[in-house]
Amino acid sequence: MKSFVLIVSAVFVCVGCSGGHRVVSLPDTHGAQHVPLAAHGDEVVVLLFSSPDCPIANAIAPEIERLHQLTLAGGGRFYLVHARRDVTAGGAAAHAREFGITATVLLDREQTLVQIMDATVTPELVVLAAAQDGTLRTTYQGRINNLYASLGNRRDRATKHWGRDAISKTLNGERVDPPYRQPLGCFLEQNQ
Amino acid sequence: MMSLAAIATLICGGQVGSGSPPPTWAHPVREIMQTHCVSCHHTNGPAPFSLARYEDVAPRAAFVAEVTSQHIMPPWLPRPGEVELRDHRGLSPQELAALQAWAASGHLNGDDKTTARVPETKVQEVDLVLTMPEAWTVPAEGDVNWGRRDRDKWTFVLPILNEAPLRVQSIVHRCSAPRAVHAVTYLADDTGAALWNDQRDDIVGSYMTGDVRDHSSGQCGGTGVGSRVCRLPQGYHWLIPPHSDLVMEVHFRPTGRPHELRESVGLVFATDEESRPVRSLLSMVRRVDIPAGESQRVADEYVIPEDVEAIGALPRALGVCVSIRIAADIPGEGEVVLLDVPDYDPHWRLPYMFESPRYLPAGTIVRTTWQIENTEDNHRNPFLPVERLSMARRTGAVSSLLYVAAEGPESDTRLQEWQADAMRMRTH
Repeated sequence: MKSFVLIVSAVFVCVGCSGGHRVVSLPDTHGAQHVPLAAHGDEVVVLLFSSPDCPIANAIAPEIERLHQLTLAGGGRFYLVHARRDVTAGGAAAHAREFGITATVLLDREQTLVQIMDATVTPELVVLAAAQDGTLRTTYQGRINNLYASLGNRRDRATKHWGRDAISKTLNGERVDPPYRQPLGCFLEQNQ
Repeated sequence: MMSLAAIATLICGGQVGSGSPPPTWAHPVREIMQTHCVSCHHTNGPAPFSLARYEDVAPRAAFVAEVTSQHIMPPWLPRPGEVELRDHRGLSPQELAALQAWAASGHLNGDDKTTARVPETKVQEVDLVLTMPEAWTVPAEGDVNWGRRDRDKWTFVLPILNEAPLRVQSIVHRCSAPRAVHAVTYLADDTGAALWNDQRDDIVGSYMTGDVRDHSSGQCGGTGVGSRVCRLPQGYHWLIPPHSDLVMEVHFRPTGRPHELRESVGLVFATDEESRPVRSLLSMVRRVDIPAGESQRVADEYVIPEDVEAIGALPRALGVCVSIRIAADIPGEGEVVLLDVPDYDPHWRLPYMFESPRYLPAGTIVRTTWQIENTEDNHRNPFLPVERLSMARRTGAVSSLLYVAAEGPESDTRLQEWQADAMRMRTH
């Protein structure tokens, strides 16, 4: 069974950096580096794994932007993460513009973040909150809503919004139940 | 479900292809992509990504294997039946197995740098082009429209301004937003009712079905993803009366961003003097009333009064309907299944043309059944949360069209009169 309570700092491996933690640093579409898993106080961190050409992820682009705004309003950080080697900074920026996404877009070309978070498809949401010991813990991982009932089986619109609920509850310090919902989307296959 | 690895073992280990090398891009994957996929999956095509190059397909090998094994792609609703259908798009069991084995065995290239060739789009010469007078915007996501019938469709009216009848053999849809438009059905309206309805407000088109009075959208065929041309066989045509409007019911799928829609429809006229008009025989259940959480199988039947040739069929229903089956009980021959759609999806609603016209003698009983599931488990049910489903429509809460041609003008006239009488009997 997938471990849904993941102590992110525990999987950080020292790779020549001080502090004993591997620092996952990823570039955004402007080339600036971000450390998405760095815990800053009690800040909530939201990762949304996506792909510019996945129709299932693109179909929820307006919802992704709503989740971004919801996170920002609650004082959290939100990252859209593209995890394919062939996604360029220019292509990712153009995709964000085309779909009206204003969140920071990270390029995880080596799928480092994918592996740490054990993400399997796009779209897949990961919500993290700082625990009392200062480490980030996953409060929710999985599906954003029920727009798709299964692959190829799409509703006209979503009627359940698990992503919104998970972010809202995490921002309010409440428990998310269940903390994991099997995500549904385009497979995150290994890079060539 | 059998794992990809197990399938690869079966195939590569000899049970499927004894002694044959593992599948590679060189053979047979590139050919499969070329035959079944790249007509839509090419750069700037209607599908979301290209599958023309090895570099496109290999990173998606498992996903491609999954969606093909589930028969999600290529989209093709009918089950193989007794009547062969034209333009069949399904994959063979061997092709499905090869894609799964390829994914499981590491998607080998086979030293092939060539690309699946995208079929050349033949420039179809048309005799008349009708274009939407102004654009309409496909929204970024689905919305609640018209009470609880939150469905993604819009109907547009294109005046033809024809003084004389037109004999149309093909309809060519030039789609301005191919990733958003899934299916379109057409109807020629000479009553002016559709245009009147459209002009009641300043918005181009309307959130109404494309049906007009007793006439069902789809009477002049339909087009959709992977099939933007609706072509009748040589020797048949749709007859468009003088002073008609072409009514176009568009089913779209929001893609996450808005699309500007300004469609054009090209009409290709029949050149064969002996060409015969195609009529649409309507099967329908006018009213359904199903308690929440329950399923119901509803049926309709009629007896064809004249000898006809059946050309094809169009299934029509909301997503609450999960399967549609059209069968003909032919005198002296027994039942022949004309079309069997076991997993109906209204957003892939297309006419299915028979490979060759099927003779149906007078006295043939056409029986259509629809399985309606008013349940939460029906993922295409647009009426959620589920409550009692009570709906009626003049042209059927659920319906289907059978395209037929009578043997001669007199027989055609009698067929039309019979059809008009039948509709009057049903609706009054």
